[in-house]
This record gives sequence, C-alpha cells and structure tokens, in this order.
Amino acid sequence: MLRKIQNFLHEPKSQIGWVHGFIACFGAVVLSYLSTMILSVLLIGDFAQKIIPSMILTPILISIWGIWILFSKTRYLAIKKFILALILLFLTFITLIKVF
Amino acid sequence: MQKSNKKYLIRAHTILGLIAIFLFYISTYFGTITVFKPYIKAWELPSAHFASNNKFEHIIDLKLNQIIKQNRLNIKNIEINLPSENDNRLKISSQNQNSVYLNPNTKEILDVSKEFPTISTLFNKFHTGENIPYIGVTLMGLASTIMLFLMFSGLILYLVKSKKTNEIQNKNFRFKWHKNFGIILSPYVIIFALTGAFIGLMLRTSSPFALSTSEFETANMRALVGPIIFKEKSLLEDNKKRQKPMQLQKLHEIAQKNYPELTITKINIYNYRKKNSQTVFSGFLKNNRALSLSKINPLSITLNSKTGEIIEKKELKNTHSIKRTLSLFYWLHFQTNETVFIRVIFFLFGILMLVCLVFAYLLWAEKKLEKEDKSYYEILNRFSLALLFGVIPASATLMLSHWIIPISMFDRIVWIEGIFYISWSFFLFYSFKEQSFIKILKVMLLSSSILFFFCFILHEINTDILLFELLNSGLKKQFFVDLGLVLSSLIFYFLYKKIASFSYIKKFDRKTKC
Repeated sequence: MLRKIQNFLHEPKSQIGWVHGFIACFGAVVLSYLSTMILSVLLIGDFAQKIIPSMILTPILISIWGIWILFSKTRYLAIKKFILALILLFLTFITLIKVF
Repeated sequence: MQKSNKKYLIRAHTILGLIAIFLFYISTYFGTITVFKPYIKAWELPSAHFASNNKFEHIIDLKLNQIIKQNRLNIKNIEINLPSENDNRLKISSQNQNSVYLNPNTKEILDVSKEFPTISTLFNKFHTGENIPYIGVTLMGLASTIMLFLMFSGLILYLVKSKKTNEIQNKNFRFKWHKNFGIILSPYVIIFALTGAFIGLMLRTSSPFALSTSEFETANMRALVGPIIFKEKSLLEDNKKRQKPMQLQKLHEIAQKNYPELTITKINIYNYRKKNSQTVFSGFLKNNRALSLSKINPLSITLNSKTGEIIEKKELKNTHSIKRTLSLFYWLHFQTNETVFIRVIFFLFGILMLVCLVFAYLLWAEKKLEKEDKSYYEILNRFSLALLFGVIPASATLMLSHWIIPISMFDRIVWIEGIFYISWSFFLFYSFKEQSFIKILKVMLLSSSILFFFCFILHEINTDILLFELLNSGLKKQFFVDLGLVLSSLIFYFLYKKIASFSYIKKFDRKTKC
C-alpha cells in the first residue's frame, strides 16, 4: 500500500493530472494569500495602506505561485514545494505578528 | 524551459481557459456594451431626451427653495448632481428621500416616475455576475483571476516557443490570431482582469488581511478601511437661526475662481438657509481625471454659504495615497467622465477580446473532432455555440422588451430579465435540435439583425423623433445608440448572408440525426 502511494507520488508525469492540477491551484491560492498577509503586516501606515496593496497583489501572486508549483515533474515534488513554502511563509507570518 | 514544464503550462492554459472562458466571455460581452452605459441610459430614458447644451444654466437658485419645500428634502445635506457625461439631467436629492430631476436648460422638473433604466441596469448586472445569486460576483472575480493566469502563461509560452514551432502553428489561422490578439490585448487584460479580480474576488475575500493587520480582532475589512478611505464630511450642528445664503451662482463663481482646475460635478449644501450653512463644490481635476475620480477620490472646496469665504480646500496632493490608487483602478475599469472616443477604443478592444476567446474555444474544439467518441464534445460545442453567440439575439430581445413591456407592469424588470433568459434558452434548444451549425448561426445572425433593427424602430416610435432629427435636435447620445443599432443590424445581416461560405464551420455538424 505504502509502496503504491510512493510510486503514485514519484511517478514522472508527461501531462498534469487532477492531483497535480489541484495542488497547483489550491497551493497557489493558499500561498498567495499567506504571502500578501505577510506583506500586510510588513507594510507601514494605516489600515488602508496595509490592506489594499495586498488585495491588489494577490491575484497576480496566484498566477506566479501556481506556475511555480505547476513546474514539478512529480506529484511528490509539487506537494513538497507547497508544504515547504507553506511552512516557511507560516513561520514568517507568526514571527512577524509577534515582532510587529 | 524544460519540455515537460512547457507541456504542463499548455495543459493548464487549456483546462483553466475552458473553465473561465464562458464566464469571462459573458462578462466581456456585457462589459463591452456597458462601456457605453451613459449613452444607453440616455437612450432608454425618455426624460433624458433633451439637448445637452454646454452653456446650460445649472444654477437653480429660484427653483431650489421651492423644490426643497415641496419634496421635504432634508436640509442637513442637500445634494445637487450637475449634468455630466454620465447623466445630462440635474439631480437634487437628500439622504433617504426621492430624487428630483431637472432639465438643466429649462429648469423644468422631469417626470421620472414612468421610466427605469432597465437595459443598462440588467446589462451591468450580467457583466458583474450579480444575476447569479450569492456566488455570481465572486465567480466573475475568480474568472478574472484565471484570466490573469491565462495571460501570464500565454506570454510565457509565446516567449519560450522556438521560431520554427511558431511558424508551424501560425499556419492555423485561429491559433495565429488567438496568439496575436492575446499579445496585443495583454494591457487590456491586465486592466480589466486585475480590476475585475479586485472588485469581484478580493473585496469579498478580504478577511485574512483584516485579521492579520488587526491582530485577529476583526475580519471586517470595510470596518478598518472604510473610515479612512470613505470618510464623509460630518453633518453640521443644528442651528435655529435662519439666514438667506449667497446666490448659488455667485458661490459657484467663487469656487471656480479659487479652484480653476476643478471640474465641479456635485454641490452639497449643509444646513440649507441656516446661519452656519456651508456649500461644498466637489468634482475632478481637468488635467488629472484618473487620480481624482468623483466616486472614490473627489476633490472639493468648501465655502461659507453666506459670505463665500473659503473654509476648506481639498487638493490632490493632500489626499490619501490609497484613494489615488483606487481612483486610478476604478477609472481604468469604468472610464468615468470619458468622452466617446476613449469609449470606442475600449469597445474595439472588447470586440477583439471576444474574438480571441472564441478562437481559443475553437482551437480546443477542433482538436477534439479527431476523437472517436465525440458525443461529449458535441454537447459542449452546441452548448458553447448557444452561450457565445446566442447571447447576442437574447440581449437584443431584452432591449426590445424594454420598449414593448408597459412601464406600469408589476415587477417589470423581472419580466424583462425572464424574457432574456427564455430567448437565450430558445437558442440553446435550437442549437441541440438543428444538425447544421451553419443553419443555427444563420438563425442567430438573422434574429440579431432583425431584433436590433426593431429596437431602433421602437425607439423612434416611442420618442417620436427620426434618426437625423435626433442629431439636429442635439440628442447626440441617442443618435449614436440608434446609429449603432442600425449598423449592428446591417453587420449581422451581412454575416448572415456570408456565413454559408465558411466551410470550416461544417466540420462541427452532427453526422447522424437525434
């Protein structure tokens, strides 16, 4: 069973399938929101100056994160990219919340 | 770029394109028409059928007092919207009370009780997705976000493809022009997809940003940003002492003298005819319309209503940077206060975008023709045909219903919207019933041609003015819409006559009878 899952995850794909596509879409949305949330914390100014630039940037970042995750040869690589970026961004976000 | 990555990108471009194309096509179609919203509104409202004279006398001192008394307007804040590119009528209103409309030239009060801007309201509703309850606007925002991805991925694919591959693919007419239009229209897509994504998706999913900036105290972005961006002038304290103010015309002259670059579009009178009364003249800058949009970042000059003394002058450099950014954002999307020339350019871009989207669908559909089991694709092709082209005669039916259905009818707008859907459904059913694609297209084109022509005729009958009389009477907006309808009718008739010669369409015909 474990081997089956491992094979499934590491199988090099010539075309993107449902899992690969879903990870790219879901990952892109989550990562872009998280990165712009970090930006909101980092920006200096009132609420408008902190929130609105993030809201403008998010749709653009969705495409960039999406393409980055999409460019993964295996499903495993796509999941790895998403999880690593998620952990990194989440830790940054928590740290910034504590600091600022 | 690695070969596999290129393949992934092509596949993602195709699949996400198929998901977003229908919503984005509908949004673009109605958005392209609503570029002319002020023109359509003037065309459909009989009360707006008067010549727009640049030298109108909008100062209405004599009538103002009478109108306020008769309509019991709240004197705490009386708002006078001056005639503009968007509406050539003069509007007097106060919060939570009915508005009074005037012909700015004759000062005659216009009867607006028997009219409603059905066409512009419904077209705008279809454009924003508000016709789909709860999720429509968000869906349109999502389609705009996908459109941004499609544009980025399309540009990457164009840049990484070798010259040889490009030459081979350019042999396909639809591919060549889908690509060319896509590149030409990339600034257009950035403007509209980004602003669309912002308005449709981001404004509705802004809670994470509100939470992160407010240390998880509130998820309501509007509660945080609203008081900063949309801060309104607070009402003045009650004052029982009455005092006759300076003539509005003179106050207007003082405001214009002290703020010559301001195009005044709105006058607010606070505590009308009271001792502490103030008059605020607001509008946009003549030389910087984009950053001083009236709805988002209006600039103003506040005068003492009695003495004309300047109380406050709001200049562009003193406004909030985010207000300027949003003003630019909204101006790019709505082209507020812009002339017909800019609107025509955006209209043409919209048409190119629609062609680009149709070619994108055809590229996918013609590939699927080679598949053995075509039944699924056959259904989708017919559905797409009804959706992409059936919307044209359906929207013409909507315009026609506006003139046919009596204004006194209960829930008139619901009926008209219903007729639009029925008409669209008719073309959907007909697309499935009829075997030949050419025949379906012919019916759609001929119906569009006839219906648009009838729209023109019914407008002429209802308003009792002939086409060239409109121009002579100075009714330019109404003339342009009527001329547009006649031209559309002729173009669709021409296409109806020529469509049979496009043998390419025959490829999609059903081989067996249902």
